[in-house]
Amino acid sequence: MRLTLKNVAYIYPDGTVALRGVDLEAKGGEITFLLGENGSGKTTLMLIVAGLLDPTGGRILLDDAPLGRDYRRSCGIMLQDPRDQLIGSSVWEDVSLAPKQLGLDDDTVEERTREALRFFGLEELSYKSPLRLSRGQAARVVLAGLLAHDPDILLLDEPWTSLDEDGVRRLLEMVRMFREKGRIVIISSQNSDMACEVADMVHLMKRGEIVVSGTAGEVLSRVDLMREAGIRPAIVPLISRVLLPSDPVELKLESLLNRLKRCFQSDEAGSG
Amino acid sequence: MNWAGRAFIDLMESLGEWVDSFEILRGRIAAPPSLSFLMALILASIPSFSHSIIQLAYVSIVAALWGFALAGPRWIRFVRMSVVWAGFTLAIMIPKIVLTGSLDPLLVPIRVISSLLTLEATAALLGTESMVRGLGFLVPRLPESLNVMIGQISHYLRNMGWLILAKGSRVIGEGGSLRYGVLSLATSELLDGGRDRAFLVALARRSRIWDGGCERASRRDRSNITLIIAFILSFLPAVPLMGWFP
Repeated sequence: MRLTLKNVAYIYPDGTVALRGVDLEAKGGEITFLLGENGSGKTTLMLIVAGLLDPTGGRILLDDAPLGRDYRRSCGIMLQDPRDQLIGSSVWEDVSLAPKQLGLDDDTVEERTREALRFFGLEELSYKSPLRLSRGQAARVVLAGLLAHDPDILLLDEPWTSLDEDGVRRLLEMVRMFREKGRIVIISSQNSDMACEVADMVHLMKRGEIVVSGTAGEVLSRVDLMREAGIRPAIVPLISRVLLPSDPVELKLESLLNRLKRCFQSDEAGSG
Repeated sequence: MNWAGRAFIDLMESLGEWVDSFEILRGRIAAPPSLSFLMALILASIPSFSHSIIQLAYVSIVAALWGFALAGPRWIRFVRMSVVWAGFTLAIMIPKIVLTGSLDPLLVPIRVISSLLTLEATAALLGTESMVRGLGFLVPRLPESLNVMIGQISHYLRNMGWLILAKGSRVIGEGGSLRYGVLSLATSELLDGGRDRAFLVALARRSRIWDGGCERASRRDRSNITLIIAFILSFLPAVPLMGWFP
């Protein structure tokens, strides 16, 4: 599965140019990360990919074919403010909305809803009104809805801003599950540390354009470009570059610590 | 917050939920949008012009049966809000009843409940999305505007309690002209949201509701008998007319 954006542009009705000729490719089984500061066009791009906005220029292709009528069914999106997306009268109703719209049978709808609620630790809230939820709980409900939907294309716009540590852990687990299933996962954020944690491919955005694209290692190690795009460079590659300048850049804290441990051990063995 | 404020917020939230529930009715028949709109217009208009309590009561019962058969347990929410709307109308009509001494204005709330139930049952049959899109034949782009409006209204009504608490937290004391009541806070929030916010909220809601496709009848649905009764009752008034034709 491959989603291709060719020269996609978007101008809002008030004349604001949000996107200027964006070229992007997102493959199934890969986590694509859009990294950019506020106003760089990430959210507009996500809305276009979700089929909620029509681009004012350019084309979007799914497996080299134009998007079909049912494209929106295959996309699940989480937007920055999760409360905007809650429309059910109860958490259960909200989470089961997508599987019901897919026309699945009752047993499957119930199974998927129950499983999604369990995954995000929402079982006890299932009959609660979404109006009575905290922002973090609302974010979990939206994510549970996406898990129950099980879309081919998963789009997450700054998904961790409302979540606590446990919520982020479950979210990352869900994202990795989607990757393993060969789905297209696109995450937009300005958090370079999270990009280190999950991204396979990173596209750095600035003023409606993609300024650099590449693997996570290639892009996240370019501290100069990140600063230029208004993004705080990720901590782990920064430390990795300072402490191990001759080695390839490490992205994950755990692997950096392991490598440092090995270095110290070999130093100790050498000196001993 | 006093009980009146709490009741007001609960009412606003229920109204918001009602708008949401209305919006997500997918319908059971994939009728063309123009036909859906016309059917909704005609069916909801019939009780609006009726002057007979028996006729209105009959239409209400039939519509309620249709609604229950098509929307299942969710239908209770619709009935409840139709009663609330009728209550509003009754409250408005009471002064007229008192002043004129005539009970004729009582027909108005009954008309309201009857028309609303008919409209809601039609939406459960044909789908709200289809009915709204049918409006596009009258005024192009109107459905999109309506979607934004519906989303915005529902969003704010549902979040009214939270908004009032959030805004109220900024008001220290109640001195001078700075007297912020529940209504002024609510109104200011409704008016201050702005175009961009409305646009985003509408898109967020559209991300959860897809175009096209009808609701599948649930296997656990025990309402098939209700559907048959509703169907028969809908055509029963036409039986005497049949004698007029050869």
